[in-house]
Amino acid sequence: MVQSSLPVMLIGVPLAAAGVVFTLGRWTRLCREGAAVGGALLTLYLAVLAVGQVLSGASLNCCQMALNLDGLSALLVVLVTLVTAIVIFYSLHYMYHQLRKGLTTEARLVTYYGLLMVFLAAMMWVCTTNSLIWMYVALEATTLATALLVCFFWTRASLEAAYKYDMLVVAGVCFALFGTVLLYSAAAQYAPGRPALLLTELGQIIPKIPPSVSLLAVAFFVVGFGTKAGLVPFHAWLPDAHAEAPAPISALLSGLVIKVGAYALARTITIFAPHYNAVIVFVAIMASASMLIGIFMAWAQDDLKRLLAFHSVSQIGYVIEGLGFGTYLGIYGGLFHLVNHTLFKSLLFLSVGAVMYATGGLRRISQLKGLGKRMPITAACFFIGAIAMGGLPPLNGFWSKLTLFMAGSELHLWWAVVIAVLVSILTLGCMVHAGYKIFWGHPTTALVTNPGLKEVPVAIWLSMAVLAILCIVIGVYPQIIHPLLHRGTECILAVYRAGAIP
Amino acid sequence: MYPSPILTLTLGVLITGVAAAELRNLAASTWAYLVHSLFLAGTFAAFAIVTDSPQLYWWVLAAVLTKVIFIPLLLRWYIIRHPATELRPTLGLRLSLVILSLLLIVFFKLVHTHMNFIAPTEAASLEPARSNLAVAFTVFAMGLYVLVTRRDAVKNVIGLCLLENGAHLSLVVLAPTLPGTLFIGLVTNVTLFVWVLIYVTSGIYQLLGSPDTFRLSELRR
Repeated sequence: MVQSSLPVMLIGVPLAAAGVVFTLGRWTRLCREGAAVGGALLTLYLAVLAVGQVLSGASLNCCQMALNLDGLSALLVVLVTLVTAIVIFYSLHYMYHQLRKGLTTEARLVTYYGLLMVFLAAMMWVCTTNSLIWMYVALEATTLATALLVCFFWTRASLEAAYKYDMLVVAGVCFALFGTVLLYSAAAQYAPGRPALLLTELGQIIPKIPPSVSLLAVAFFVVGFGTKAGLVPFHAWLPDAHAEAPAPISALLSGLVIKVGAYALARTITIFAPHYNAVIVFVAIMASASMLIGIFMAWAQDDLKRLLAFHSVSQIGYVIEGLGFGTYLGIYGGLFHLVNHTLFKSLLFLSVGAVMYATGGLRRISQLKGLGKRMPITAACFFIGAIAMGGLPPLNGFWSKLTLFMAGSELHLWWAVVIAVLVSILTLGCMVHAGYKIFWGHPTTALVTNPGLKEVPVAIWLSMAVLAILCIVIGVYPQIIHPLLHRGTECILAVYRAGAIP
Repeated sequence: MYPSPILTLTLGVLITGVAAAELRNLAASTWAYLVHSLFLAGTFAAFAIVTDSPQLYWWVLAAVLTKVIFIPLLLRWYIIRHPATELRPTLGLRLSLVILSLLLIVFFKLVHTHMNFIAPTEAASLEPARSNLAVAFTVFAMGLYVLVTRRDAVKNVIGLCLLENGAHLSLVVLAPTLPGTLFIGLVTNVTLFVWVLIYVTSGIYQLLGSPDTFRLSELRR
């Protein structure tokens, strides 16, 4: 363990950037977009520094272990900062275009970039806090930061989405508070004098807690954090919020926000799972239901963003299932799919945003046809994301799904493996079908006569290209991410085994 | 013999919670919620005195500022600009009162009897903490009941606040050593959520002409 100010700086830098955006953002674009870009890049730089130190074997902590950056935190921190930076770059042109179209104002853009920075700070807080209860508070802060971004355009549908998002997520996550409090109460006698339940001490405490409390806490965590993760049947908020938010925010919601729920589950139920076989089966059932319902609902969608949203419900099932297995392979696969899903789902949402940008807001599959010739880069990015999500080699989704199938086989949960394979095939079919309808063939008359129908500006497709390249690189050379995934997995297992930080 | 002030305050939390849930006039319901929150803050203060826990005074201060002042003010801000009568809920008043009373009695009895299953600690098994914790879970269930049965968006916000208050009430028994800053973080989040929800509900009212959550899907057409 190394004392370091990096965890504090990871939270402080985006918060300071948010302060600059909110106070000075009205006057110049430099203070608005500039501060957001600068804040995101500086946070990304700090995250890379932190990853370097963590990979060398250190665990960075400060404030008397209140903040702790271990392998799992480092994985999330670098992923969150990278995707947020990419989304902010994408937003620069995309949101300016919305401004020129009169869909927003300069003042509202201040709110947009300011809230993005607050969101980044809240995400950093979730990933670095070492206290279970503070993690709950930080998790709620991420919902708060994104709540107003969902209804940013203040359209009818976006208001409905924002109301449902707020109401359902807050009510659902409240269950996690009960779970946390029950655990805290039961653990207090084994960790006297501790101001708050530390995540790094859970492993030592859980075996001493009565099974009734443990199982009740697990149930509350699954409901609470499962709501945030969009797990069936707590997913009602997800399709609307993801579909109605501006495209860059949809990418963040699907790519990062639901992962916070998965991260919280990784920090909690994964520690319980090896002690209780029932937890493994319970989580596998929930995850399989999420996969199946998500994919069936996705097939029924005509709205591209809703289709992707339901795929998120389905794909988060893979992540949760792997984490719930509680074995090295399961946790490794779950974390690997968490990373991959963040990359390809952000890519897909940004690609759909590009389609909407070029077609004047069209997002129904039935309205779109033959866009591939006019938008070759967007088409390529969409197909890379689609095939990665379908789990075909040589893209990143293949490896994480293969790892999860192996993890399920290792535990002889054959029914779960069969469902996972079946859903993967259906996912591939659904995405290729959607991509074929949008990008193949000849454009409809309405699209041909649209003068704006051309490839999106480089400022937009560059962000998509970076994500697409990452999907390919991790697919072709998965070893590149192995050290971080291994450290993350070992962190969870170490907490379970001895309560010690590796 | 039970230390009666804490039990009296806890009973106050429960009764005013029922009033906040069942009163059809939103202004009256907001007042009931304010008194409910006052009882909640009073319970924290009573625990602070009885258990000699000075950090609980921070909880009292945070609860008064957010739950007694800010949240009712936010609700009031909405109510004076919009119709003050709650939209007719799915259940009539009498039926709703009967169902809610039954739900509360069953839930209280269940939690109170099986406290060792939920919180097998000495602190939770002794009165008045035992009854207080049972009331906390009951208020939580009451919040869920309001969320499920009410169609008025503002009443749902009150339901959400009751839900949170139930969780926060449980903290005083199960986690009284939590630092004041953490409790301030918890209640600040709730206040900000209420602000966002009231803001969004105002927008929904402007566009839909009603805060009816059962008609929200019309906004998609």
